[in-house]
Parts: sequence; C-alpha cells; structure tokens
Amino acid sequence: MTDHESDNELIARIADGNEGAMTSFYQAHESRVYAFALRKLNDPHAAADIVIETMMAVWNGAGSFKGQAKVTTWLFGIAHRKSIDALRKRGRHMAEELDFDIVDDSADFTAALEASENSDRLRQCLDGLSEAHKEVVHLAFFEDLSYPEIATIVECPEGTVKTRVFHAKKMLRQCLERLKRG
Amino acid sequence: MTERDLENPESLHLLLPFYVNGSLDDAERHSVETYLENNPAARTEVVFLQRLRDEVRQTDQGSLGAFGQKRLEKEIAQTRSRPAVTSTRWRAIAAAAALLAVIQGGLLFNIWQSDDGYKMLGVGGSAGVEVIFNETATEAEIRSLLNEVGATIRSGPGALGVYRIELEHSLENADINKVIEKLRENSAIVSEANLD
Repeated sequence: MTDHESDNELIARIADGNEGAMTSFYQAHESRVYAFALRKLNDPHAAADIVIETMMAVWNGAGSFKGQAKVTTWLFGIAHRKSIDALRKRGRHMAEELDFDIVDDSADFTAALEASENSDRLRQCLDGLSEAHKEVVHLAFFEDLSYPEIATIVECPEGTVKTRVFHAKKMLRQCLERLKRG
Repeated sequence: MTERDLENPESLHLLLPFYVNGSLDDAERHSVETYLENNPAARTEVVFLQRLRDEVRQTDQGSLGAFGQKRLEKEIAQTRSRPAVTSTRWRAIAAAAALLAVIQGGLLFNIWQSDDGYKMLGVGGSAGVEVIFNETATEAEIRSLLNEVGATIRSGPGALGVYRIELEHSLENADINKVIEKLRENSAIVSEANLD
C-alpha cells in the first residue's frame, strides 16, 4: 500500500468517526503541518494552534473529501487557509504580487552562490521573505511538491506559483549579495 | 505546459526550482535539461537552488508530539459531548470560559512569578514531570495538589499548555512514578502527567 492509498484509507475511516484512524493520521502528518505553519507564521504557539485547527477540520470534514487531489494537498490547503486567518487576526496580509520583469533576472548567481555557503546568511535571508514567498519556497523545497500541487494548495494559478518562487529566489539572491558586501 | 512553452527560454527558466525538487514530468524535465546544456548561467542557478533546498530541508522544525495528540483527542471529545445549543448561547458560554481562563491564568502567574527560576517551557532546565492541568481546575486545587506531592512549577505553559514541575526532594525513579500516578489519579485537576 502506498502512502497515497494509506492516506485515502485513513480519511475514509475518519469519515466514519474512527478516532484510531485520526490518531494515525495525526502521527503521520502533524510534524509536516507544524513545519509549514511555523515557516509561514514564525510563531511556535500560533503554529501549534494551526496544527490542531487543521486536524480538527480533517476530523469534521473527512466526509466531504472527494479524492480529486492527494490527501496531503487537501491537508496543506486547509493549513494554508487557517494560516491566512491567523495572519488576518494579527492584522497582517499576504504580500501582493509584484510585477517583476522575468527577463531582468539574467544576473549572475555566482556571488549569491558564494554567499550562500554561509548557512547563517542564507537562513537570515529566508526568514526575511514575506509569508507568501516563504510558503511557496517551503512547499517547493521542504515538501518537494510540483507547481500544480502548490497552486491547488495556495489557491492561485500555476503561473503565479512559478513567478512567486522566481521572485523569492530573486529576493534571496539580492539579500545574499547585500550581506556579502557587508 | 504547452509544447510552445517548452521551447520558450523564459518558461523553462521558471521551471528550474521544480527541476531541482524532481517534480517535473518527463517532457518538462527533458526540455529543461536541453536548456541547461546551452546555458552556463542557468546551471549556476541550479546549484544555488540545490543549496537553498538543502538549507530549507535541514531546518529542524520540531513537532507537537504526544501532547498535541492529547489536545486533539480532547477537542474531539468535546465536539462529541457538546450539547445542541443555539450559536448565541454557545458563544456566551465560550466567552465565559475564556474569561475564566484569563482570570485563572492571572492567578497562577501571580503565584509563580516570584520564583526566580521561572522560564518559558522548552528553554532548558533539569529533568522533571510534564503536566497539563484541566481548564476547569482552580488555582487552589492545583496549589493543594502540588503541595501534597511536594512539587513546584519550574516552567510553562508551553504552546500546548504544558507545565514542567520539579519535585522538591530527589527521588528514585519508582518514587517519581508514584508521584505521576498520584497526579493522574486527580483527573479533575490534571489531564495529563508524564515523565519529562
């Protein structure tokens, strides 16, 4: 049985009110949801709340899961919406998309590559990204998700996901070059 | 992607992060590899993206573990036992419960803030027992129980409402387990107690 089939099986049992299945589902996925929420919100207390709220949404909504997407795509989609709600309560909003010129990114990555050898610098620049950019970077590089899956999770067109990752990369490059110059 | 996109350098450039994470389909991956053969700058960028991916994956993000599971089980139990009341009445009850929690939290803080060793859970400290108190437990009940087992609160609450308590006398493991059993017996006050 693959993870995908296993998750679908668990969701079917959760829909029947099986608490043991819910425990198995929690144990399989809670650390991933926590990592996602923590990366986005940078607040362990708020991230813990997101995990519980997301798992409760799974408990209450398993019966409505149609199986059109992978269970994990559905799960991260819930966590994404819960995180947006949390940010709204804090009075913050996801960053608006800026209209960067893609052709402009022909800049040499050699300097950024050298600067990225310093792990602290790279982490500092990652932390400085907006919530929306941190989110797509996390889904692309921590979860290794495809751009169509990320688009489903963050509820935007596939092209937006690609340009959002592109902008994140561009900002990281600029940040690393700035830090290297001191 | 369309066939036309797969011949467009700009479109292929946008796929580099997904080439690095291995999520492209065969046609996309083949087109990106052809693009990279003739573009040394893009190859440098791929190395940068691989380093970025390594850094993102190395970050230790932690876990809620068993205490998160207990909190989830508790919330599920509450939804099952929740009476059918009007939403207005339910909101009033929730508001009253929240107010009670704030008052209780204030009382607890006043008692424990005089302890020089007070710190947030997870910062460090010696081994002890981790406890979650019931939301309905009063400060007097908690104080009485802790006095009875000879324990003091050293840190907390953590993100999940977990407190770390330490025993006033050094005890053997068997005696510590007795204390944990005693705490668990008082289920009206303590919802969870485990060896730290």
